[in-house]
Amino acid sequence: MHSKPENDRRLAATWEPAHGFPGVLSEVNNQVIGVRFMVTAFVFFLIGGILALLMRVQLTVAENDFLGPQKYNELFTMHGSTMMFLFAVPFLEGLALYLLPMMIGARDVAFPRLTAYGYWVYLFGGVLFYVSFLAGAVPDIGWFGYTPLSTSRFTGISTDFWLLGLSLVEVAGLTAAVEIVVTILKFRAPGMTIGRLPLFVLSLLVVGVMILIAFSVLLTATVMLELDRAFNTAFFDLTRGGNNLLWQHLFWFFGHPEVYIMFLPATGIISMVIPTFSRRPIVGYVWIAVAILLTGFVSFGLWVHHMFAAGLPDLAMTFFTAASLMIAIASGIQIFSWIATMWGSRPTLSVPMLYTLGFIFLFVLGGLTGVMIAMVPFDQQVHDTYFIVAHFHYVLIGGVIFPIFSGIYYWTPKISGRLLTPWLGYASFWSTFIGFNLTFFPMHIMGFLGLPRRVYTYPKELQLETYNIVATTGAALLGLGAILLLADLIYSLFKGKIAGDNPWHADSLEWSVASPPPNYTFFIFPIVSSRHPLWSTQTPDESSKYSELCLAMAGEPHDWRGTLVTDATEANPQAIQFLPSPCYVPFWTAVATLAAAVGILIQAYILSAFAILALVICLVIWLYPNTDQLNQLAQSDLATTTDLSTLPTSTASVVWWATIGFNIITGSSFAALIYSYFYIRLFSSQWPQDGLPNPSLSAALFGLFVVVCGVWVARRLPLTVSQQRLKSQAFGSIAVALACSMYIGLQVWDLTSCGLSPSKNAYTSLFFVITAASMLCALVVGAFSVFAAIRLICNRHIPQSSIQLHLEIISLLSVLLFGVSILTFTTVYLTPIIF
Amino acid sequence: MHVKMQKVYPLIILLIIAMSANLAGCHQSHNQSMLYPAGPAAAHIAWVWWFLFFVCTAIFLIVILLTAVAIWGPRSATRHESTLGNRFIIFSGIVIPGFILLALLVVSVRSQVVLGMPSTKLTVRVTGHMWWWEVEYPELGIVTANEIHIPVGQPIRIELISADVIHSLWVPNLQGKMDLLPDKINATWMLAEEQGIYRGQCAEYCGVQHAWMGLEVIAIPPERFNQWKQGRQKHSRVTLSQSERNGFDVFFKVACHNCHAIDGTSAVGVRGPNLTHLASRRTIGAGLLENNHGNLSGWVADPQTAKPGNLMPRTHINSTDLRSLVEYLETLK
Repeated sequence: MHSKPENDRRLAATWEPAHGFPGVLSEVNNQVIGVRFMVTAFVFFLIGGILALLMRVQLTVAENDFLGPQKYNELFTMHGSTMMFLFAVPFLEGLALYLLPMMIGARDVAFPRLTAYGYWVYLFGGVLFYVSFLAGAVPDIGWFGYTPLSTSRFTGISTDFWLLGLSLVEVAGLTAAVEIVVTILKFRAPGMTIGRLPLFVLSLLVVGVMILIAFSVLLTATVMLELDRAFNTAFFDLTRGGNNLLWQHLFWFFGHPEVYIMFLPATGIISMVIPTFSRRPIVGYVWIAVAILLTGFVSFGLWVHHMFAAGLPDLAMTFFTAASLMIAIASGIQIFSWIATMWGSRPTLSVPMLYTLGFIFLFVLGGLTGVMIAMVPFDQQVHDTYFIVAHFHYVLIGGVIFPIFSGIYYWTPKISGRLLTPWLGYASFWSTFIGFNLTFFPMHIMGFLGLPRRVYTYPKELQLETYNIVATTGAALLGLGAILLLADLIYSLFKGKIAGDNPWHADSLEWSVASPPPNYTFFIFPIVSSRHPLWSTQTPDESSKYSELCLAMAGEPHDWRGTLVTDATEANPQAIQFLPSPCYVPFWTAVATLAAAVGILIQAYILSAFAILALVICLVIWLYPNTDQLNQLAQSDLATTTDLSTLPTSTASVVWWATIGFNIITGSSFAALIYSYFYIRLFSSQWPQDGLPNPSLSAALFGLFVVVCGVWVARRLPLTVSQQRLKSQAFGSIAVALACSMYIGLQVWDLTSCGLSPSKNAYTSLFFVITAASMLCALVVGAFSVFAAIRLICNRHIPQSSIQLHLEIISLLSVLLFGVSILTFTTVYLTPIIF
Repeated sequence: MHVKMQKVYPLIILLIIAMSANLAGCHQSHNQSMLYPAGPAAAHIAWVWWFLFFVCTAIFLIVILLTAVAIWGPRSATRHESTLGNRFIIFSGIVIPGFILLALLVVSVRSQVVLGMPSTKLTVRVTGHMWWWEVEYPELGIVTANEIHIPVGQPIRIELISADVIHSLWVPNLQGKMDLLPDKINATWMLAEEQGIYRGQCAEYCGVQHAWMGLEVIAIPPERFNQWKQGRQKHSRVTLSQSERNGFDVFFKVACHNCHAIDGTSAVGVRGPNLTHLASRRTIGAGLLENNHGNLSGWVADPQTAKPGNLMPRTHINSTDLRSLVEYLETLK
C-alpha cells in the first residue's frame, strides 16, 4: 500500500493533460474542453455583441446610411445565429461539461473523446460561419432561414455557409447532450439518488433530453434544405410540389424548445446561487423539479405561437395559446420558490446574487410580455415588431445571460482558483443592468409605434429617433458592462485573491475539491446522503454502506483513467468505467466532418466523398477495441478489491446508454422526415404527385420481412455469452449483417428500378430520402454486426463482457432499425395505397 | 448596496414616465401606430393591450415587491421544506396564476371570435413582390400599387398572396398583420371608421429592401371612393405633347415595358408596378419618396441610390430623354 501523497502523485500523472503543440489537439479531459467551450463561446459572444453595436449605430437616426441594407441584413443574421447557436447553448454546454463531474462526484464525463470531437466540430462550424465574411458571401436570411427566401432561387452560397456551419454546430450540440445525459445518469457519487441531484444538474438532465429531440429535428430540416440547394430535391420548392410552411414548422419545433434549452440551465444556475447566498436550502425543491420537467415537456407544444400571423386555423392557434400560457405557470413556480428561499434570510448581495436579482427583475418583465404575445389577437399586432425584439431580449439577456454572468462570477473562483474584484463586479452589473433597460425597454414602445423587425432603417415620419438614441446609448453602456466583466476576469487571473476551496460556503460537491481542481477532480469518491452534501453531516448508515468501497477506490485506479459507475436512479455502485487518455482521433474525425461540409459548400463532391471515407476510417479506429487493454482491464486488481466489474455491460455500461441516446437522435431525425411526408401530402391535391404510380410493394415487403428476421436474430444475440456459444453468436452476427445488406440491396434495387428521380417533385424526394435514411440505419446495424462477427471469429481472447456489450449494442440498434423500417414501409409504400 | 438601489429605481421609473409622456405627445402623426386605432379590429386589439398592460403591470409590481421584501424584509427563521413555504409556492405559483391565465385564455378566444371575418361587399387582392405591393380590385377591374383606397365605414375583404418570398401586411391603425405566402391565399379584413391615410409596411423579412416595402391605406368617404373608382376604371388618355410623345417612345426604347404595364398601350410587364395611374399615386418606391417631379426624375434615372438593391436597374438615358420620359409618366393620372 502506498501513502496518500504517493497515490496522489500517481493519479495526477495518469490524468496529466497533454501539453504543447500538437498535444493540445489530443486533449480529452472535461475541464480543459469545458473551458475551451466557454472561452470560444465567449469570444463569439463578444463578436455577436460588436455586430449588435454596429446595428445600433445604424438605427440611431432615421434614414441612416451608415451600413446600408445588405450589410445590415448580414449583421442581424449573423448576430442572431451567433448568439443562439455559437454562444448561448455552447457556453452552457461548456459550463456543464466542466462542472458536471465535480457536482456529481465523478472524475470526468462519460465520453471524453466525444467531448473533444464535439468541441472541434463546434469550433469548425463557428469558423465556417465567419469565413463567409472573407468569402464575401455573408448569410443574409435571418437566423430562422425562412423558405423560400433561403432556397437557391433567392440566395447563393451565403446560405450554404449558414446551413453547413449550423449543421456542424448541431452535431456538436447533440454530442454534448449525449455526454451530459449519460454522465448524469451513470457517474453520480454513491448515494446521490435522482431526488438528491443539485438543481443545476437536474435542469441539465432535462435539457440534454430536449436537445436530443429538438436538435435532431433541426438537423433533418437543415439537411433537407441543403439537399434542395445542392442536389435539387424539392422539399421546399413550390413549383415542384414542395411546401413552404413546412420549414417553419420544423424550424420552430426546434426553435421554441431551444429557448428553454438555454433558459432551464440558466434557472439551474439561479437555483444554485440563491440558496448559497441565502445560507439555507432551496424551498420547494420538488416543485422546482416538477416545473423543470413541465417546462421541458410543454416546450415541445408551443412552436406554432411563432406563426400566429401565417393564417393558420383559429382552433389550432387557441391550443397553442393555452399551451403557451401553461408554461408561464412553470416559470411562476420557480420564481416563487426562489422568493420563498430568500424570504427573511437577508441574503448577501454579492455580485452573483446581484446578477440573480437582475435576472428576476428582467425575466419577470420579459415573461409577462411573453404571456401577452401568447394571445393571438395581440400577437397579430406586435408579431415581428420591436415589441418582440424587446420581449425576447428581456427573456434571453435577462433570463439567460444574466444567470450566465451570475454563474461566471459564482464559479470562476473554482475554475481559476482566484476571486474576482467586487467593485469591478458591481460596476459591471450596474452598467449591464441599466444599459440593458435603456436599450430594450424603449423597443416595446417602438413596436407599438409601427417599427417592424429586421429593417435597416425607418422613415423620419415615424418619429422614433428619441427612442432609438436612448437605445443606442444604452447599448454602449451594455457593451461597457461586458467589457468590465472581461476586464475583471483577466485581471483576477493574475492578481485575484486566492479563493480557497469554498469561498461562498456553498453546499454542493464542486466546492469540496481544490480550486482550481486537479484534472482527476476527486481523489476519493464522495458519499452523498442529502441534497446538500457540504451542509449536512452524513447519516452514519449511508456513509458506512459505501465507505469501504470509496476507501478502496481512493486514488484508484492509478495506472489508467477510471471513474465509478452507479445505477441510474439510486446511485448504488455498479462498476468501474475505463476512460480514454489524450488521443488525436477526435480531432481528425472533426477535420473529416469539416471537409465533408466544405466539399458540399464548394460543390466539390469528390472531396466530400473522400472526407466521408476518412470519417468512417476515423470512426473505426476510434471504436475498435484494443484487446490487450480489455484483458488488462478484466484482470485488474481493482475488480477483486472492490468487487465491481471493470468491463461493465448492459445498463451498467455508459455505452449502452449512449446507444439509447443515438436511437433517440436517429429516431427524432427520422420522425421529422415522416412528419414532412404527411405534411406535404396534406397540402397536395394529388398523391403521388404528378400522377405518378403508387410504389410497388413486392420488393419492399420482402425487404421488410428480411429486416424483421434480422432484428429477431439480433435481439437474441446477447442473451448468453459463453465459450461454447461463441460459434452460434458469430453465425448470428453474420445472419444479421446479411439481413441488413439484403435490405439495403432490395431498397437500392427498388429505387433504381422505379424509374423515378429524387428531383422530380416533392413526393419523389420524400420517397428517396426516407428510404435512404432507413438504408443508413440498416448500414449501421450491419456494420456493427460484421464487426462483431470479425471479433468473434478472429480473436478468442477477448473478455466475454466486451463481446456481450458489443452484442447488446447490436440488439439495441436493431430496435431502431425495426422501428425505422416499419415506418418506412407503412409511410412510403403502404399509405399511398390504403388512403 | 441599499443606497445604490434606491437611487437607481426612481431613475428608471422617471425614464419610463418620460417616455410615456413622449408617447402621449400630441404633435405626432400616429398613422402607423396600433395605439391609435382607426377601425374596430385595431380598437379591439388596443383594448386587449391596455387590459394586458394593467394586469401584467400589477403582477410585475407585486412580484418585485415580494422580492424586495424577501431581501430587505425582517429576518425570519428558515423555511426549508416548511409547509408554509410550500403553501406559498402552490398558492402564488400555481393557483393564482392559474386563474389569471384562464381569464386571459378566455379573453384571447373571445377576441379571436370578435375579430372574425365580417361579411364584405368589396375585395382587394394584395400581392407581395420583392419589395412592393400589387393592389387589385378583382370586382372593379382596377390594378394599382402600394396604396389601397377603401371607403370609410365598409368592411373590406383583403386577400393576400405572394409572388416570391413570404411578406406580411401590417397596417397597425386598422388591423393586426397577416402573412402573404407564395403557395396559399390568406384573407383578412379592414374597416376604417375615420377618414385618413394609414401607413403600413411589410413585417416579414423578405430580403434586401424589406425596410422600404411600405404602403398606404387611404380611407375616403364612400362618394369619393366612387369617384376614385370611376377615375381608375378608364385610362385617362390626354393628347400628348411632342415631348411627352417622345417620352412614350423612350419608355419602350429603354425597355421599361419589360417590367411595367400601362393599360391601353402595348406595355404589359408584370414584374414591376402597373403604371396606368402612376401620376395620381402619393408615393414612389413603395412608400419611399413623395411622388413629385424631382423625386420621380431622380428615381427613374437612378433607383439604386434611393433604394439600394431593389430590382429596378439604373437606366442609361440622356437628360433630354429622361425629361420627356418623366413628363410622359406625369400624364398618367
